[in-house]
Amino acid sequence: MPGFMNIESYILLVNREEKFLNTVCQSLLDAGYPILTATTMSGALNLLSKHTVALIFSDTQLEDFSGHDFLKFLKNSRLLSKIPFVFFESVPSNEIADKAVEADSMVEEEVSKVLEAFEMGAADFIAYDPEEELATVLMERIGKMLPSMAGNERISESPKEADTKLSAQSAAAVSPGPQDRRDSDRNFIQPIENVELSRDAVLWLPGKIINVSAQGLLIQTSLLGRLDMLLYVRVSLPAGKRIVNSVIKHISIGKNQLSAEIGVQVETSKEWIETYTYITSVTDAGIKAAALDETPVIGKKIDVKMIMQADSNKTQRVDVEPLLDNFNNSGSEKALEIKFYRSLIGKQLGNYRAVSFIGAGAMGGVFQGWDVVLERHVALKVISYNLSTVESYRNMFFQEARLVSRLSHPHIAQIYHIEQIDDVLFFAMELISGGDLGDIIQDRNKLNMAEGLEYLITMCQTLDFVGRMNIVHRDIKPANIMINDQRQLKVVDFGVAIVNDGTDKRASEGLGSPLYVSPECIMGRELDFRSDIYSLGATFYHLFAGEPPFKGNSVEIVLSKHLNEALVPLKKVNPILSGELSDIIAKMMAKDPNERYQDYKVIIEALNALLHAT
Amino acid sequence: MVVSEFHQAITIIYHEQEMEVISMKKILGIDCSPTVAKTVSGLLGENDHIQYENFHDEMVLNDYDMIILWMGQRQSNVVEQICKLRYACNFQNIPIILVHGEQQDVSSQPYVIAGATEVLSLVNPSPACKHIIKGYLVPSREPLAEEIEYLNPFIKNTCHVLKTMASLDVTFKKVYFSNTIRIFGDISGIMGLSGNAEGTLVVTFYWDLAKMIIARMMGTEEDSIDAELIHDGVSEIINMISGSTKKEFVGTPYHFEISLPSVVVGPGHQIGYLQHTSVAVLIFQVGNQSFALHVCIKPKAKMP
Repeated sequence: MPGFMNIESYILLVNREEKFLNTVCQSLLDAGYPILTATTMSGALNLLSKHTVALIFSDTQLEDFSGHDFLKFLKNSRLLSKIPFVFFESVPSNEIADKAVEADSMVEEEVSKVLEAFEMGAADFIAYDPEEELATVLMERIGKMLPSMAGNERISESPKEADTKLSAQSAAAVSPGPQDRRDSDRNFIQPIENVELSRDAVLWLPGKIINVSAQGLLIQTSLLGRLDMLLYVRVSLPAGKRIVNSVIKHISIGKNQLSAEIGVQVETSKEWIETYTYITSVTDAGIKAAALDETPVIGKKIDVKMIMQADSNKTQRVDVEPLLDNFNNSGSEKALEIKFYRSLIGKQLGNYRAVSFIGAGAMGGVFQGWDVVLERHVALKVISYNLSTVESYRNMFFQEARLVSRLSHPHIAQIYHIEQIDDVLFFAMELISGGDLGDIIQDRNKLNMAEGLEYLITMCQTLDFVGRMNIVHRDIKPANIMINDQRQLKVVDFGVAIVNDGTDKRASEGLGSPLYVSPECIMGRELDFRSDIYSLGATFYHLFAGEPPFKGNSVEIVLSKHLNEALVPLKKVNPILSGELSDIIAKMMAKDPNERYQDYKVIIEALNALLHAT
Repeated sequence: MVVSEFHQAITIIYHEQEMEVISMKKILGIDCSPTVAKTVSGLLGENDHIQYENFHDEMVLNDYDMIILWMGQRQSNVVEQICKLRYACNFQNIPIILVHGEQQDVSSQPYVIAGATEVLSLVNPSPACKHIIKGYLVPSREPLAEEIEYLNPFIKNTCHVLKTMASLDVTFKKVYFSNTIRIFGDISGIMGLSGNAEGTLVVTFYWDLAKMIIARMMGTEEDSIDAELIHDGVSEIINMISGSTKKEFVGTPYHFEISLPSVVVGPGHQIGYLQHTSVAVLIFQVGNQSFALHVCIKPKAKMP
C-alpha cells in the first residue's frame, strides 16, 4: 500500500493507445499503485480537475494534442504546474540502433526533443523498448520520484536499466525537474506531527506535516490560500507552542472530498530552528529504531508512540474542554455524561430553550437557556442521568428546589422551575453571567482589600439570612459563590443543604468540599450555621491569601489538617493584610464551633469597622 | 354532561391524541440485524416509530428525525455510508447515530468527520445509551427574538448576493442551532468577525452547487471551472455576504469588522467558535440543492 502522503493521490498515465494503457495500468494496479489513464489531453485535464495527482507519465504524442502541448499547458497553470511530468516514448531497440548509424541530424533531432522537454519543465524523459516490460520501468521511476509511494520490495525488484533506454538522469542534472529538487534533502515522516495553521493568527485550523526540509514543510490541511500568501504554522513542541511564519509555495487540491496539500517555505527564525530540530529528531528516532531492529516492526514502534501521544492529548482535551471534543472515545461514565449533555444543545425542554452549553459538574450540565413564556434568560441545570434515574437522588433535587424556593434573597440564585421531560430532569434557575469567586482567586491582582471586605460582608449577610431559616448550606466554597456582571454575589448550589430542624436524616452525612469543610462536618456531628461560618472563613482565607488554609496531597491529609493542625495566620501568608482581618478569619475558622463567632452580625460589625478604617 | 362540557372533554382527548402524534418520532435503523434492532427498539420505547432498512445509495431521509446506523462493516465502508447519508440529509439537522457492539473504545474521529453525530457502543449501560439517543430526539429550539434580529440581515443579504452575482433565486429554508461549527459540505468560506461584535461566519457548499454558482458568477460554462476558481469564488461569496451585512449593523451591538476570508475543503472540519455562544445554521435552497450559512456572533457591548 502506498505511504500516507499519497494515499489519496494518483499516478496519471496518458497515452494515445488505449490497449497499451490498459495493459500497463493493470500491471501497476496489481502492484498496488493508484492509477488514472487518459488517451487525450482533454481527458487528462478532466481527470486532473477531479483527482489529486502526484505524478504524470505522458506519451509525446496524444490523440488530440502533442505531449509537449500538454506539458506547456500544465506549466502555465499555477495549480498544476508543480506536478512532476515524465515523458515516456516508445522507441524500438532496432530503431535506436538504426538511428545510431544514421545521419547525425536524426540523432540531434531526437536529443533536441528531449532537451526541449526538460526546458519546458519535464522531470524526466523515458524512451523505452516496446518489447521491454514498461510497467517495471515505470515502477522503478515511481520508486525514485515518489519514495513514499513505493514499498522497498518494489525498488529491490526493479530490473537493470535497459541499454536501449535513453536515461534522463544526465539530462536531469542539466535541467532538474521540480520533484528532483524537492527530493534533495527531504525527510519523509509519519504524519504524526499535528500543527495548526492560520492566515490571520486568529482562526486556527488543523494540519498534519507530511514531510519537512530545512526550507519548508509539506502539510496536509483543509485551509487553503493563494500562492505566496503568508501562513502562520503553530507547532506544539515539548517546550511549548511555536509559531513559524511561512509563505505558501505549493497547493495541491483537485479531488473534491480531500484535504489539500500545501507546501510552505518557512522564514528562518529561532522558532523554526527549534521546530525543525524537533521534527527531524522524531524522524531520526524512527529511522534509528528501524536500523537497530532487523525485524520489520518499525511501524509498530512508531504506532505505539503515536498512540501514546494521541492518548495523552486526548486526556488533556477531555479535561480542559470535554464538550468541544468530538473525538473522545472513552466509554467512561464521564464521557457518556458529556455525550448526553451534547445531545441537548439547541433543544427545547418544555418552555425552555437550551441555547448554549456552559459546563458540566458532578451533578449535571448547565446550559444557558431561554424561557419562552416569560421571555427571559435562565440557566438550565440538567441533572446527570445517573442521578436522575435513582429515586433518592431525584428526591434530593426536588428537595433542593423546594428549599431554595423558600429563600427569596437578592444574593441567592433563584430556582424558577423543576421539570422532567422524556427522562431529562432539569432546573430552570436564575442565570448569572459572570464568574465565581474562584476566578477572582486566580486573578487576585484585580481585587483590592475594600472590595474583598465588601464581598465578605455581603456573604455574611446572605448566610445570616439562610441560617435564620434554619438552613445549613454545607458546601460554601469559591465555586458556589457566583459574581454577576454587576459584581453582585450570588450563592448557588443548595444541593446538599439541610434544614436544621431535626427532621433531615442527612444531617450527619459528611459532605462538603475538603478544602473548606468544617471539622464538625468531617466528624459527622450535627451541624448548624456555624459550620457555614467556618467554610466561609476558609473560602475568604483562600481569597485573601491566594492559597487554601490547608493543603495536602490527598483528601485525607487535608481533612486531618482541618481537624488537628493550627491555622497559619492570614497575615503571615499575606503580610500586607491587616492583623484585624487575620484575626477575624482565624476566629471564623476556630476548630471548636463554640470558639467561633456565634452570630453573623458580630462578624459584620467587625468587618464594617475594618472597612471604614481602610 | 352538558354539551359544552362534552365538547371540552373531546377537545382535551383530541389534544392529547394530537400531542401523542406530535411527540412520536420517526427513526430509521440501517443495517441493523434482528438482535441489534431489538436492542435499539428497547432503548427507544413504544413512543418512537422505528423502521429498519439495509443501506442503499438512493436513501431518502427527509422525513426522519434520526438515523441509527449499525457499524457492521469495515471502517472505510462505514465512513462512505455516513458521507452518503449526510449528503442525503441535504444540510438538515438529522442526527446520525453510529452504533456498534465493541467493548473497547472505537475512535469516533473518522465517523464524526464523515458526518456522524455520535458514535455509541451498545455495550455501554443502557440508561446512558437511552438518554443520549433520547436527548437527540428532543425537539430543536426555535430562534430567540434577539437571534432573529441579527439573523434576518444575513438571510436577506445571502439571497441578495447570489441573486445579484449569480442571477440565482435562493430561498431561506430553515434554521437550527448547534454549539459547534462542523462542516459537512465539500467547501466552505470562513470569515472571522471582530469589533463591537465578534464571531465567525461560514458558508458551506457541496461541490456541484459551488461549481454551478461560481460558473454563473463568472458567466461561463461549468466545465471551465476548476478547483482554484471555486476556491476563489467561495472566498468572494463569504466576503460579499459579510461585507453587505456588516453595513446593516452599523450603530447596533452587532456591528462587526471583517477580516481575511479563508477557504476550507473537505468534510467534517470543526471551526473555532466563541465559547458559550450558539451557532445558527441557516439552510438555503437553490433549486433542489441546499447550502448552509453558519452564523456565530456575540456582541461585546451590552444589549440596549
